[in-house]
Amino acid sequence: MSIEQTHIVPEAILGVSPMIAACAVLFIVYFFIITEKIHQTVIALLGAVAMIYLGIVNQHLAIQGIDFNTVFLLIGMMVLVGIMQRSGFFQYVAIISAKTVRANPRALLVVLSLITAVFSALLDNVTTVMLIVPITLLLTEQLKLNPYPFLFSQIFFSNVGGMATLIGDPPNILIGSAVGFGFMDFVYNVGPPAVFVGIFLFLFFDIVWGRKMQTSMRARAHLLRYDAASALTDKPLLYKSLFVLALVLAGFTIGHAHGFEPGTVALSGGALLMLLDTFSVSKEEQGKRIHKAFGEVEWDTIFFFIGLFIIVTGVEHSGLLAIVAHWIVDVTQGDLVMTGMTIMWVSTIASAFINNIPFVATLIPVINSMATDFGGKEMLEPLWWSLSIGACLGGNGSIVGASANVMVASYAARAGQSISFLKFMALAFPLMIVTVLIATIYAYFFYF
Amino acid sequence: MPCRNAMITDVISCKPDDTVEHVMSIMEENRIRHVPVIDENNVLLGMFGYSHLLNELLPVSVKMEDGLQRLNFVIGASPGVAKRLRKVYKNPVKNHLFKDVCVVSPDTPTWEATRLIVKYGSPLPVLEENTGKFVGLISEQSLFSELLEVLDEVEKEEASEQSGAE
Repeated sequence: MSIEQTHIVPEAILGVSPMIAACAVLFIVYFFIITEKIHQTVIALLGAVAMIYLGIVNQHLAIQGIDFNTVFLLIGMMVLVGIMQRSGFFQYVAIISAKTVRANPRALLVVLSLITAVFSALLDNVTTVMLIVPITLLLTEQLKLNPYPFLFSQIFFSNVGGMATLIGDPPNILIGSAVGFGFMDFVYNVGPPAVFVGIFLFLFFDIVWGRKMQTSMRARAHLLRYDAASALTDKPLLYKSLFVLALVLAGFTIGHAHGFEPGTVALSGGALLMLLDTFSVSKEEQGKRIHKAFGEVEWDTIFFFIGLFIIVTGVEHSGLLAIVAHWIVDVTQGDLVMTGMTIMWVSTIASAFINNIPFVATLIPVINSMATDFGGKEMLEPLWWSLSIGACLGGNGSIVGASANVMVASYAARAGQSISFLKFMALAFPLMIVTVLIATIYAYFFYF
Repeated sequence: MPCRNAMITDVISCKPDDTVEHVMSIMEENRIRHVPVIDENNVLLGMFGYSHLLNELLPVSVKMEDGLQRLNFVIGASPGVAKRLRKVYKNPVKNHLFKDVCVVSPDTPTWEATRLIVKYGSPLPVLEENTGKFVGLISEQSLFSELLEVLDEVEKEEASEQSGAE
């Protein structure tokens, strides 16, 4: 099937082929996202409307191109977590864990990393680190420990934990939504390599840092006096939040088989928790709380996604991505394993330096276009997992590789513990390569 | 009515190299809570006060933007805080200045100074507009005493108007 048959290519725009115009818009948007000269949301929206003004897509097609499943999933989870964090639950878990390991620094490095991984798998990575980093800084200050190993480890575990589930990391949300994978598809396919990588990282961080950490008995005794229960500021809200979170996770797990997409589940979870939180309070208080709950939604992120979806729809519509797809298949000589490995490693390197969200959003239609080359959409499954692994683990390669990394670095700077780009990368990049190698071995034996 | 009428010019100030311990003893003696820190050219370097010092004693995870909202789970922290204070006691005050200070000029209307004091707290340093030199402080008390004087005058005027009308 030729490209012309699969895509309706619009007329030439001012004498320029739509493919070149779309390519130019994509290039300019990427340029500004990478150089950060213009805020990513602004440039994504400008790129999106440029696609419409240039006639590459009309508004109707542009709106059709927005993946509202992803948008609803993000909004629903942001509302849910925004309300839940008011209960003090995250500090509570961190303090309980620190006390469980008797404030032993070596064990503390492990438990805080584990908490980061688990929360990142169930919640958004940036939110997770925003909750875990301040309490980590308090605990390390109390124990007179250098916070750097803890922050480094949390960056890695937020990306590894995020890789394990559909909702853990934006690339997975995009892939799951575009392809129709369910929550458990991710758990079964990218969960195991995430666990293997996690085990390796636990051992590595213990050898490099954990076993050498020392603190005084007096400092440990102080930390053991912390009253974790006092960190829980609103117990009824905590119970409501945990109840709704459990329902949402159950909804993700079983909803897929019944045709309910994650966007619906997350949005209903957000709405239910808002209902429980505002039930039987005055009208004014209801208004205040709902306003606050929606204030927790990162609208700039939401509109970044919306802009990207429209840009990618425009580029896809121009026929450019299909050409890229056929080119990749040609280069890899139509070999599925070669194509999968290429996708994994290219996305790894790309994600280490540029935002993995636009990268994955662009690559999804490229992979989709390979269906005819490999004999049907169902044959593409290994390629999706390869993309997920590359995009999520690649984020560990540099301090700008993922939004969570940037957030940790920003907190570290505020605490007077700046993480330098090169110092981080000197260890993180090779370590990231090893983690992708582990995932590559897993992929070779289990995906293809 | 401009700030120059309401400001205190006889101000107890300190030098940047004075130790925290010394400045705190001056504050204690004079029963004041804030001291302007001024260099040899009479330029304001910042303010030093109990509230800023207490803020410095807090853990960095609380002080930073979007940091921890509560510390109610930390039991028995006083010895730790006291040790922190011991560390800063011998430091010069220039290391513990509050530099992001809201300032007014002698010509700022007192109405505006009142708004700023309500918003940012008392006292506000008064700086000469062109030279930036420190000329005094405007505080809650100095504003009130100036307003009371004005009130006194207003009442006298009203009384004389009434007696004139009769």
